[in-house]
Amino acid sequence: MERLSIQDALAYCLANPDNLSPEELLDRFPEHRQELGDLLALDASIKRGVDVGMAVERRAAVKEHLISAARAAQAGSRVEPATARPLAGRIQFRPWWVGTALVILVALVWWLSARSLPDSPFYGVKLTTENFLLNFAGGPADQARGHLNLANVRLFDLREMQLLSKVNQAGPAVENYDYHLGSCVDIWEALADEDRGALTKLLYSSSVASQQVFAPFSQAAEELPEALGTSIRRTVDEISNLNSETTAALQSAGLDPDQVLAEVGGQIAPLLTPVATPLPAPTPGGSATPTTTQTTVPTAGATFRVQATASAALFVAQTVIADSDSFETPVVYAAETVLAAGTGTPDASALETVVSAGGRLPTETPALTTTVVVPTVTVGLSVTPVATVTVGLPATVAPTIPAVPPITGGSTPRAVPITVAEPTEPELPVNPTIGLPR
Amino acid sequence: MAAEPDDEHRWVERARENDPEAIGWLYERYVDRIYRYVYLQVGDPSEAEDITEHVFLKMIESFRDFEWRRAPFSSWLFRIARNRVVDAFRRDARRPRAPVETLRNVVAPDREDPQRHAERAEFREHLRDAMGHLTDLQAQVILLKYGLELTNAEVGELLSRTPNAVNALQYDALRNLRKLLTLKGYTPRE
Repeated sequence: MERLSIQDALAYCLANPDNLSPEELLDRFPEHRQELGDLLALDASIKRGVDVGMAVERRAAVKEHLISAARAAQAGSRVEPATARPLAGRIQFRPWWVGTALVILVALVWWLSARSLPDSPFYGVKLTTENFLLNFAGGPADQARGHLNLANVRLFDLREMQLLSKVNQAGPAVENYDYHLGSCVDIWEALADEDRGALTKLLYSSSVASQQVFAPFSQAAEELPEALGTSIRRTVDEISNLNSETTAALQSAGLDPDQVLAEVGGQIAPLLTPVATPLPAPTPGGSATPTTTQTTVPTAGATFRVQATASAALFVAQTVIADSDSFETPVVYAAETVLAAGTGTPDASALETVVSAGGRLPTETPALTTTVVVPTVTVGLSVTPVATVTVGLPATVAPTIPAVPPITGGSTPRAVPITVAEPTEPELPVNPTIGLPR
Repeated sequence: MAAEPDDEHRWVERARENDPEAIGWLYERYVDRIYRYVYLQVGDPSEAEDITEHVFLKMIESFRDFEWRRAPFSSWLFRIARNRVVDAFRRDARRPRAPVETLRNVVAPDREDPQRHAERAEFREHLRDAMGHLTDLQAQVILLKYGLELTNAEVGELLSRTPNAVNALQYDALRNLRKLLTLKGYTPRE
């Protein structure tokens, strides 16, 4: 028999088309004898171990139930033939408005699902739609690219969940990422060497981006539900292996991985940097941030505006105050901004940020900074914020903060200056599109 | 039941008309494999029985959606089983998993030596624990081959993989399982 790889030899032995004894099977592959012997023994153990069945009584009861259900269906309902009835025949039995309502509902569900995140009830619809579209991919290489694109989209979903501090609800995205990346890798491994080149580059780039995205998830794994933590740890290991394999493949082909990243990493470039970009440290001699507007610290329920130029599905702005020991009670600002879905063309949109606060303000200069940063993760759209709002005081500026009375009803304004700085950051992340019609 | 494909075709067509005899025929043909596939994942016999029942009820509900394409009826049914298990996991995501001791609670079949039964139950615990360390695809290959007793070609069809890819997955899965079981001090034997 021709020399087979261990994988193919194992497949032959397990299928055993010629009904050979275990010894005869091993004799056919002397070069793999030892390992095959161990794996065949395991195969036998598994077959013995999993030979279980339903309890006899339950098995019979379920059958009865099914038969009863079938009889009821036969007796009580119109039996649909296998072939479709003409449309006119169906409409005849429904009010005219039902069809319209269904179309609107389907469109609404699709629209909602396209922008949904793992914690949304429409997320499953989104994933199902993606898989459906993948059916129209061409050969294996196109299928692999399709899977990898979807895996990369999941990375954007995961980063967005991180920004929303909803890591513990990111499970469906992690699972789906695993599925698509695994599917891509399986196809890649099965491709002939000469067909792998382009896909190797894309896989390498994706693995680098994945490591960035999963780094904070990995750090938080201990605090997550057990199943999700295990899944994340396993995924991180697989990504690490993939990164090593693709790096080695690129280098053996004489390619520089960094150059490959620059060349093909465009769509996922925003994922290649950590999301939490700290504010620049104040420089000696003055404020690091230019001041364009002065306003007061909002009281509870107050609003301030941040102008952003974008068509985006979701903006999240978070503000955090680092507590100082001088606080009598912790002061926490939380801001959340949601922008309704845009029309797809860039236009100026106003964000309203509601800031809620509680507790007492410090009576001396605190070593604190409240930062409203507008990170964005969108699907297929580019976003350029025009303002980063910095609430607080750079350490080098030594103003005197007037003593303010305790918050009693949320109505006393606090005269602590806020600087509104014009950012110079480049455009924020752009998700790769996956071809979903808008 | 080693029916020819065209026999199953005739039974499926009758089952689509809610013929009770045909429903019963399909149930007997697939129930053991579906149950085993589900049980290996959920680990609890009662839950596995419930899910198995739901799979067949869903089969009856969804016959209108079934079309004969390249894939056989069994692939469609197994996809239903897979989706039901995924639904069960998502629904129970925040509940503690069934303790592994329930794997011992499968009643010993008549005439099986209790000692032998206990050994098999213990092995299932080790196996299920080890499968938790495989990649999802590797675990699916194990479940489909040993739970549903599918050939590699059928596994490839369900997972949209080439035969070579399935062979590789199968090898990786068994090799990893062997390593993991050995680490736990369990040595598979013929």
